Amino acid sequence: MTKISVIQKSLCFITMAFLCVNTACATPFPEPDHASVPEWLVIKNLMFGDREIKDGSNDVLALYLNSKLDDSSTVPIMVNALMDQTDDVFIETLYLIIDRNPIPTAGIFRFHPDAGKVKLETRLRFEKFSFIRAIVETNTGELYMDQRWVQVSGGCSAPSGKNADDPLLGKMRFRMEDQLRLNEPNLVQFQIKHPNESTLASDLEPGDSARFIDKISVEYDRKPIMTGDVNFSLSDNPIFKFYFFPKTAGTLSVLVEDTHDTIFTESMEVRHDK
Amino acid sequence: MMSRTRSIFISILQILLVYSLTNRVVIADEVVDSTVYHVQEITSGNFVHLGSFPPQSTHNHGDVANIGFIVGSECVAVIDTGSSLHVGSLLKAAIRGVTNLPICAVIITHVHPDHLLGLNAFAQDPTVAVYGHHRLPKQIRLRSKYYLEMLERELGVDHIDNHIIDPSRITGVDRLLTIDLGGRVIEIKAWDYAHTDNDVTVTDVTTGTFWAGDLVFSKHVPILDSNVRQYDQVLEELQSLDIKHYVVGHGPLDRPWRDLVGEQRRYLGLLMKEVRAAIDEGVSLMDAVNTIGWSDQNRWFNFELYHRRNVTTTYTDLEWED
Repeated sequence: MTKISVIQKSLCFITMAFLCVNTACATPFPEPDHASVPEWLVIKNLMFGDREIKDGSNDVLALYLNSKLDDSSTVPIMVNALMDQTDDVFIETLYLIIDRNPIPTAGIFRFHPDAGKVKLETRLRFEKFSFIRAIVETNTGELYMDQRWVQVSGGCSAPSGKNADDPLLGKMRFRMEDQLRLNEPNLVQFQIKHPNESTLASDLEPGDSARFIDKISVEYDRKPIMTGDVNFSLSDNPIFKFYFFPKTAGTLSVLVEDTHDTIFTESMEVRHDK
Repeated sequence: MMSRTRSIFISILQILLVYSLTNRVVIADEVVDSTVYHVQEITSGNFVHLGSFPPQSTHNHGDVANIGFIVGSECVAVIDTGSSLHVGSLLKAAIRGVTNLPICAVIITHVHPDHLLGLNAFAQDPTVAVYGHHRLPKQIRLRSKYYLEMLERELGVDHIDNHIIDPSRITGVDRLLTIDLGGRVIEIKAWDYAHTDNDVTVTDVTTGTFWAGDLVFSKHVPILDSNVRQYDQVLEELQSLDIKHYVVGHGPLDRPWRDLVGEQRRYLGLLMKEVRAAIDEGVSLMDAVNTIGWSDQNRWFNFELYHRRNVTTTYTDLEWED
């Protein structure tokens, strides 16, 4: 009797669990609690140890993504600093982390305090449903985070098919809005033709390694503006949009390196009467 | 008391069993019962099954593309195989309902899974030749893993290993290839960058019937998985053809050919015009996907589902224009 009752109870439990699992499949995957995602706990511990990461979404930084996304290989994102860069306190580093990508650290960008306001726009690949986190570290060693839940997948393993055998590898282009304004932050976009191959997607022969961009550095008149350690979490033909702070006319120059040790450089003369 | 407990026990067991088997039972029934799977003879010897509109789901069992076959006096050529072995088997059964002639060729119009993944329903027979674009094998190698995961996730297919496509089975078509089905010649033409980078079309020379694959849709929003400018050039060529009878990859076949191609070109034209203007004005991709081309929203089926991606594909191409 007792035995059967136990079996009965456990069967009921199994039935309920079974129904729940099946219902969950039919509904959109619910957003988990961002602070307790298992992958994140590991990443957080590896990258930041037991340092406190504060919620920065009110007054330090804002991470923007569209709410409806349907191309997992090309997800535009924007990070805006909500605080000014002053001599005393400024943002030094921006970490972009995608918890469930093959390389969760999508990018580590270092901003020079002379660069004016901190802003970064780029495009990312998402391999699985995941949180994306933008974390900034100030010169005083404080960490602040904003994050979004993203529900697209396959971005690292599904090739885009858009740029097969592109003959323009390494072509680079700057885009600037408006006229150059001296002594204030000016927005500039840098873009480069590069397949930025994912280690998951590439149709590689044994022994070959995926070719992706791993470094970018930007200078204005030989003074650093921004540098980035990146990988194939960036989309193919990556773009970077950011501020620089010109005090005089000068030269904006970019250096990009990929994992096949190719170095790409491009520069643009910036004139006041542009 | 004892017997009541036992009967509850048994009924729970029954619920569990029925619940876990329901999907499989329905699918198995349909495989046997090919009468629920309709094919129509649109021109002499050209048989088409009209699928539902995408996306694939457990409701439509992945039956989301227009697929079919052409019957000669000696053998049969299959054009596309559906999303899964299930759909491929239904088509095979439908062929057997029409003729007992052997199947000598399967043509895969492009790599997308709703046309490709039913292939193993036919390709297990080594006498069946499989034709596709010369870039198809590479695309199969690149995309297989991702497509098989989709099959598992979206259609609930348990045995995805049965669906693994062997790219070496494909005979690549570089430009034009003709096959004789006995008293009936069909032409396979490989296109350059269009809907994908691996589209082929099939013409039944006897009736002039043109099998467009996904180069052209009817009522369903076009899908860009390659280069928009080159796609439009291909469509310009297709629009000039005098085609009376056609099969398109998705949607009804009841309107004049040039109307279909024309409205598709109008959409691509709108995309390119508005994307170029946005790039000139410094509008970011993030904003562009929400603003560009939405005046066309009510003209197309599944616009909400695929339009943003089309904007992304167009934008990321045109931002490199000189």
